[in-house]
Amino acid sequence: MTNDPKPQAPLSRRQFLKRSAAASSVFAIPCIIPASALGRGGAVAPSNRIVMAGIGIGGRGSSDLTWMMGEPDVQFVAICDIRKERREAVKSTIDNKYGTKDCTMHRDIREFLVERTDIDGVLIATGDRWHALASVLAMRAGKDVYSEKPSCMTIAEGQAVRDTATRYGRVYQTGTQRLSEANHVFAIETARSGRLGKVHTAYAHIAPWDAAIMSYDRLPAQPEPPRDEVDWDAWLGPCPWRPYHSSYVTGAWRGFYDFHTSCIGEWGAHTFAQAQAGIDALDTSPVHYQYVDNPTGDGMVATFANGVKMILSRGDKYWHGSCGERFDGPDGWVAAADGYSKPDASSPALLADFNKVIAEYTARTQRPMNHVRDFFDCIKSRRQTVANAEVMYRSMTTVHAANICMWLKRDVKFDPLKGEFLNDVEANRLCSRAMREPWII
Amino acid sequence: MNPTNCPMLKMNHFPFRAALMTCILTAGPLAAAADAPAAETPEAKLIAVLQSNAAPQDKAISCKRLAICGSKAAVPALAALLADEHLASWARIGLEAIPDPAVDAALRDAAAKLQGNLQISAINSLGVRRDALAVAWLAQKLQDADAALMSAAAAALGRIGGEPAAQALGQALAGATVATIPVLCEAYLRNADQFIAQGNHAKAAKICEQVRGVQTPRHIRMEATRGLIVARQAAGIPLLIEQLKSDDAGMVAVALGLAHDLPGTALTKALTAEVTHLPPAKQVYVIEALGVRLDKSVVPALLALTNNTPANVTIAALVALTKLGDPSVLPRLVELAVAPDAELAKAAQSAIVAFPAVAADATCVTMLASPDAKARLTAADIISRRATYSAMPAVAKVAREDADAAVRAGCINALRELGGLPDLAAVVAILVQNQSAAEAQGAEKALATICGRQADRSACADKLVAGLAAAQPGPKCALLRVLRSVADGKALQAIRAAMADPDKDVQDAATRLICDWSTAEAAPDLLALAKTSANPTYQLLALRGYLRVSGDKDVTAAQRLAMCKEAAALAQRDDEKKILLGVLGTAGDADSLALAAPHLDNAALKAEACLANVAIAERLAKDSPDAVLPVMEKVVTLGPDENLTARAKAVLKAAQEAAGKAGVSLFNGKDLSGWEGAPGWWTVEEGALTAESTPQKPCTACNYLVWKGGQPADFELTCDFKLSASANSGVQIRSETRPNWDTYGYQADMTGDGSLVGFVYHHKRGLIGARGEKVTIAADGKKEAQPLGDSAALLKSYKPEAWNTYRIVCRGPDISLYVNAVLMCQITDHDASTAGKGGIIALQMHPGPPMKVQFKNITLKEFK
Repeated sequence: MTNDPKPQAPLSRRQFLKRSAAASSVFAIPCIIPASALGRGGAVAPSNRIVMAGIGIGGRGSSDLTWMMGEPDVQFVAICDIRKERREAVKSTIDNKYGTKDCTMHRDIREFLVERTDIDGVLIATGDRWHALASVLAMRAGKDVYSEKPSCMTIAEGQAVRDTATRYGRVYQTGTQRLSEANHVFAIETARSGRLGKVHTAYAHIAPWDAAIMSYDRLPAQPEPPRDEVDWDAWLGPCPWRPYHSSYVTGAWRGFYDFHTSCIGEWGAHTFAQAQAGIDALDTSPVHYQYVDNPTGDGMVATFANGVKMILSRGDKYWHGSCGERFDGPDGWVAAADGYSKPDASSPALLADFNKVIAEYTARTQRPMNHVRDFFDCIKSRRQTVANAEVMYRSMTTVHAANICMWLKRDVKFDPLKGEFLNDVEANRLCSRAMREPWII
Repeated sequence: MNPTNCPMLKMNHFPFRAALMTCILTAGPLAAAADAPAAETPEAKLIAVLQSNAAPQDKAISCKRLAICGSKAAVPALAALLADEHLASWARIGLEAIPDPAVDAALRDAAAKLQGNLQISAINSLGVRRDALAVAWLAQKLQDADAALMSAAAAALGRIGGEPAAQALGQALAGATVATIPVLCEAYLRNADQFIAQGNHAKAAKICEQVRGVQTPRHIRMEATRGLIVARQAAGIPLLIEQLKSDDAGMVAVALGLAHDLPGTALTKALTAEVTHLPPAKQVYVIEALGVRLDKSVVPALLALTNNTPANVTIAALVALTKLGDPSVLPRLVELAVAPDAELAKAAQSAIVAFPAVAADATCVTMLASPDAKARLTAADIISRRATYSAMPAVAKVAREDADAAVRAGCINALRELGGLPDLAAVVAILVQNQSAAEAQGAEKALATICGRQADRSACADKLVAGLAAAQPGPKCALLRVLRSVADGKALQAIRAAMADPDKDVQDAATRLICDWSTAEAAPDLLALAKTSANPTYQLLALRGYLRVSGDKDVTAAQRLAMCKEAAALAQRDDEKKILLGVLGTAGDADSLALAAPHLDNAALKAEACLANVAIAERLAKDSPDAVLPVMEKVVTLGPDENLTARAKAVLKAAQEAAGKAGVSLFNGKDLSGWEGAPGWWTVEEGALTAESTPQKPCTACNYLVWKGGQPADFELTCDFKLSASANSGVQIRSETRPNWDTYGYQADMTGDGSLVGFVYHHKRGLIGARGEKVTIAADGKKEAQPLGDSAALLKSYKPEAWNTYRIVCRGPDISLYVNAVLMCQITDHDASTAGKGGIIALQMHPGPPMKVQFKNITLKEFK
């Protein structure tokens, strides 16, 4: 489109976003940065390092933290967490890594973001309920964001994250790290490149525990601990109020409507993005969701505007392992999941192209097979990450729409251009959820 | 669910919440918004909950449900909760979702009245709802001394947008302090964003300009600058370029982000013009952005950047040019591909590999004809990485004729990766030419790989066979090896012929290859070798090969058996016998069992023999149970390993079932048809024959429910039973009737607590066999007991107050009791008055404390 010699009509912001999205086949062809320009390999002077901080670092966050600290041009300098125990543990991890005592600890995210203007980017690995809010607050404060998945609790939150990233020109990566893993990239690129013929069906794995139908129960009230130890009000963050119980804080928040995105979001946050990548649908969402009469959404058929189907699957019928995706076309199929040494395909001839497919992808996109490295490269080049805010918003919209279909116990239709359900007041009322004061995004 | 049946009224009952959530999400059609809903609608019920003394949690869930089905009617009840510290957040979930303007009025009212966090809460909702009527009041609050209140008002105005809100924010910004500037700017710039969305770029630009005029934190200045560039549209380009030149990395980041995202040829031109003037560190990123913009007008500028620039700039330019795919770049890429700088050369090679135009294919062929050997070698590598199939004839020619060994090797490698049928002759020629061991090896590898890719094996064989005549022994052996991998009829013929080759090495290779043949086509050759070869090694290899091909899927069962028989006669060593057993096990049928069974006696083959026999028997159990039974009994006795023994037992059971008469069901699950018992005691409950005594209806004397269908002597009876804890009951077998629904004879005993489960009782002789005993009673009545197991351990298989299965097997003098498939007790009774006699089957109701006994799934299988 940049070849268009005609003078361009002014673009409204919506049109602009739409064009950006529609043109993602152009814009998503990522840019090429020679490794030497990015500080890969070899030592990097502290003044040239990307300054990072952690927000809410628990189990998954600790893995991310270790991963990120392995990059030579990255330095972590602070931790913000509502739990004292976690603040101290993460400080110790960071200080041990650098052999200093410099990592600072913060409880209040707003104060933290105002005080630490030296920080370039944040790793957000709180519980799901905080992902979008913390991302928006951080981007508004001028930080680039790596957010764990699922990165939003509602469709509206996803839109807010996407819009904030655009308005502030921030680099954002959602933690769907399989988009940067060779086995999944192979499956995705094999599907995209036409090696299977025109792909008609994608399958996406949903978590084989929990259910789409969650709980509104409350654990019995316990006395709130001192705020310095556990800041319960901050833990709840944007969620509606409920009394304190220590189990929520130590991880037993899954399975509650207030805090979780169900078995569909738990893995769909990964696998829907993987599946949508293989059918070139990262800039859209399915238009029709077919309700299935079971507690989990297993077997739900979500259909895109072009007729391609994405089928939610809970078991290991289509792959052997976790977080899998599969693509079926007239000329064959390919599947990948965690726990494979190599992807699975309908014929060895497809697999024989493994190295070639990965090499082509790398040459074309210049993306590293390393999700956090991609984030850091993009902080420097300001290009869009592989799992940028648009990708997150679109794939998480699929998650939320599938959940809403399950909760309403009937088919729903979605309009990806408008970002809302089609003539469906009930479903549209579930697209957002009021945030508890004082939070607003 | 019918919404009117929603169990709303069981408010304090625990399952209420789960049920309510179901209601929330299955609420019927949305209540009509206009009128007050009738009292029984879901909405009315939810409103009633909010207005009742229900627990806070239940009110919370009702708010959530009203988010889906609430209308104007729900607003007062929800709004009342805005003053409740713990429920306000829930009420707002409902309120924000209800589209009626009454919500906005209620929120404005609450915002005016409430204080502190709850006031902010209402203001936030006004912002989310973009309530224009709240602007004037919110504008006042921009002057409030309470920072939190002021911030909330600003945020709300930012979301509401429009001229009045922008005006208020603009004025406030003019008099702002360091503390209030960030929140005001955030809101104000959000207004600008909305103006851009509405096409009002001028207004948006003004806002951004005003913000840029204020002393703000860097990230706000970045946002304002970004907004201003976007709002100015084409006129914003100079500002973008200015940021690109900035020393402030944040501003450079703004410009680079827009260089990727903003469309338009004008921007492309401006970036192209600027890129050459930038320092290399910035050039790299701008070049990258230019590559993404896919505008070929940048090609000359990028091409210029591949000359005399730092390596990272050159490489960035190469990659961008590749993405643009303009063929005019190819000569430069070829030049760089052989550059002395290894990093540069590698980047240029990768660029040609990924080049998106077919013109690059011809470039590769041209490069292959270069006088420079390094260029030719590079070309061969690029061709194989690029998968340039069209270059194969040229590659084949160079592979044969090039003077440079490295170039030839590179081309042979490319042939291996991409070659097809038409290229085979050339590779065969290279092999036969035999220039060096390494080259011959490369050619052989290439042949095997190419042939492996071809569907037409016969055509491959033709090409390979054609090379045999002229080949020296070394290459000939290589061709034979490839022919072996092709494995079709012609290949076999060629190898068979080579067994008579004058050269000993060729003979040996051919013989070994035929022993390694994968299909039954070679079976006659193999059998002949195994029987008659003078070389014991060949004999052995051939026998093994013969056994292997007998497993070929094209071999019929009869052929396979015949082959196994031949092999069995030839197999001397246990090693080959093991292979034979393997074949029999995976492919065997009825006759194979006869062939496999004798090996059970060979201790050295125990594991393999057991496995083979069990595997065969598993397929035969149903159709030839008589053949299977003795063999499986033997396997069970040998007890190979736990898993295999269990499999053998399962086969044994299946075969026994198949051999015996099929069982008949004695109880239809519905009524007492076929049974007779004391009136008023036996009924059918939950599909089970049931008798129950209660304090009001005590059982004072034994009574039995008698099966009227026969008096079997040798049989297997299975039934499921469930007893209350205090119950005592039993299954009467081989018995006689007595008046008043009494009986006389053997009983498989049982009690609810398990104490008598697995005992044999007799009306005259009492408990003649205990759980865990194997009892023999001689004709003179003398009893001898041997232990069968630990009584307490055996009882563990009984599940109190649950369904258990009794299996009672009577055969001649023997009676065996199994509970849940575990053998509990066995008696062998030689008492002439009772032993082996037929009699009635009956179920017992016992006197005692209130109890309940139940039986179902009662199956009788009589032995012939």
